Amino acid sequence: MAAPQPGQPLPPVRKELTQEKIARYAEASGDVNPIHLNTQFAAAGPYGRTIAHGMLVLAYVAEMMALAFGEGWLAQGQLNVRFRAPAYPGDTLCTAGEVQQVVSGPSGKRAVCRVRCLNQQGQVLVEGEASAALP
Amino acid sequence: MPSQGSFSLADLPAGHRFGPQRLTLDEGFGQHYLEAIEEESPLFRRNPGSGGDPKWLPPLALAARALTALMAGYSLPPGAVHAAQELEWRQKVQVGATYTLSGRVARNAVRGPWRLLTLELSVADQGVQPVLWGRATLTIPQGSEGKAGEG
Repeated sequence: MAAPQPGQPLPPVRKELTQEKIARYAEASGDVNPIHLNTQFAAAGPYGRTIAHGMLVLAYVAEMMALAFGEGWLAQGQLNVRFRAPAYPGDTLCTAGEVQQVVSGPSGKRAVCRVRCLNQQGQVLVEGEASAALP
Repeated sequence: MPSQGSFSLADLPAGHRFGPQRLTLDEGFGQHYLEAIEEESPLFRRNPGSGGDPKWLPPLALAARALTALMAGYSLPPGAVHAAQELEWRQKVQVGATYTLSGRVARNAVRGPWRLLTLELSVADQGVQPVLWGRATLTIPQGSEGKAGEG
């Protein structure tokens, strides 16, 4: 893997979100908050419908980082993001990001990146910073 | 984020501690999690390209499962939103590994029409070495506290 350069884009990850996928994530993670699963409950809430787990959407951002940086991301990484808007069943999500800088520290070099996930309307759902260890 | 339980997270004071408790990420969980997020990278296969059982897991698998496990028995009020997340990890997350989880309420404060709840999570391996640390910030509309989510 060539050394990342500032401005270098990260490989996007695209996912079609469905209620079934949200339910599957709820079962896997153990987070069964009814706002993700119960249409009646969600209809009475602030969004009017079920929404995806923030950690599910963040998992897609993490997948992008894993694609970009491989085992360095798995071995030593950081994420610092804000959730800006919910993701709904039926949305098409796409992650994006770019290397901001390569920094050196006590544990070696790291690639610091800006990361985000957008829906099909280009609305930013999640954005922030992620970093991965470099070989 | 937790949802089931008799006690509301919004009622917990800053400094309240969760755990410690143990968590093992078995192969069933690993497979289930990877399928749920549609992760097909060979990074998570024992034998890349052969479809073998996963050996490593995404760090967020540990974070997500640990948060849920640690806060079982607690619920969030309606309208609670996951506003921000910080995570940092120092080891690969391994299928079959057992971890020790602990956490605390770092902040529970009212800011205008919102309650801000910050939960911290720490995960260590069996050698007591830090593996993962996280901080989740939730916003809860004022007036909805104490009304546990319908389960």
